[in-house]
Amino acid sequence: MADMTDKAGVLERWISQARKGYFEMLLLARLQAGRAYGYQIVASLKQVPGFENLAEGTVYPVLTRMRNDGLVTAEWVAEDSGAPRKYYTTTQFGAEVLAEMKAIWAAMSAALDAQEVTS
Amino acid sequence: MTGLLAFSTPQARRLWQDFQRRLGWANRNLDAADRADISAEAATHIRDAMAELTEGDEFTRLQAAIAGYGDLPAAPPTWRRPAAILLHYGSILALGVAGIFVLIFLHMAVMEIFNAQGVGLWHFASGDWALSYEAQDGAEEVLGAWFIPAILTICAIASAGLYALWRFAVAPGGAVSAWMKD
Repeated sequence: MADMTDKAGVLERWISQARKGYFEMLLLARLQAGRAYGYQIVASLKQVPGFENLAEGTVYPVLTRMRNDGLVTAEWVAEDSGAPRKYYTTTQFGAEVLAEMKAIWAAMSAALDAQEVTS
Repeated sequence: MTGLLAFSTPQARRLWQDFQRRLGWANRNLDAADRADISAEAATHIRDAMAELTEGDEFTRLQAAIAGYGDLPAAPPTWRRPAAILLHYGSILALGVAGIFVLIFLHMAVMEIFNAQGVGLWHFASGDWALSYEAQDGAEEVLGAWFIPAILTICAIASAGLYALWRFAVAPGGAVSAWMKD
């Protein structure tokens, strides 16, 4: 049985698992708002509760996987400063997947609210 | 594109090279194109992160930017993989040889039931020892009725040791198998 005083530990473990679950959805949502490069995406994610201490490098393998899955496209763009940056954009497929993810998220939230009402 | 990041101090250059080695190791399972892409992106990321940091010298800012990027595991020493291969196949050989001895000991324990006068641990007057299926002239059997429990105890301990060795050095999920793939 979990120690009642270990609420922080239980929550930390749960948040860690939940974060992995909705990481791709957050990335897709960020990119649907407009194309962005890695550092911008990381800066946006760090504003999201639970992602404040995000290890920035973890974003790139996920973006690579999403690109391989056809959810996003990536393009190196030469900036005015001369330093190229890799910009990510959501594909049509990515937008459709995001819409499905949001619907599942809403259904989950509704189910959770319903549990609270009935209990 | 990683060449876009240039550092003026040897200390920063060493830190950057170490970071690149660790990054390459962390992404070793990706194909070469993805690995190169992530490496180039990491360089732009670190450059952006350093640009946002206003305090500290080049090395301190690079250190902070790398810390923000996340803890990357160090690549193992180059000798580990060949050592693991040697240990793996050496263990298979040792398991085979030791396994034969365990089987012989078990066989002796069984034969002790049928030939208690012959099978045993014999001690010669000269000080020599012999584990034998037959009575030895000029030697005294020392274990007597304890022969079977003693042999079974040795076999049990040896089996446990061999199983541990198999788990560590031979099993596909063991540590040595993982080192062989690194």
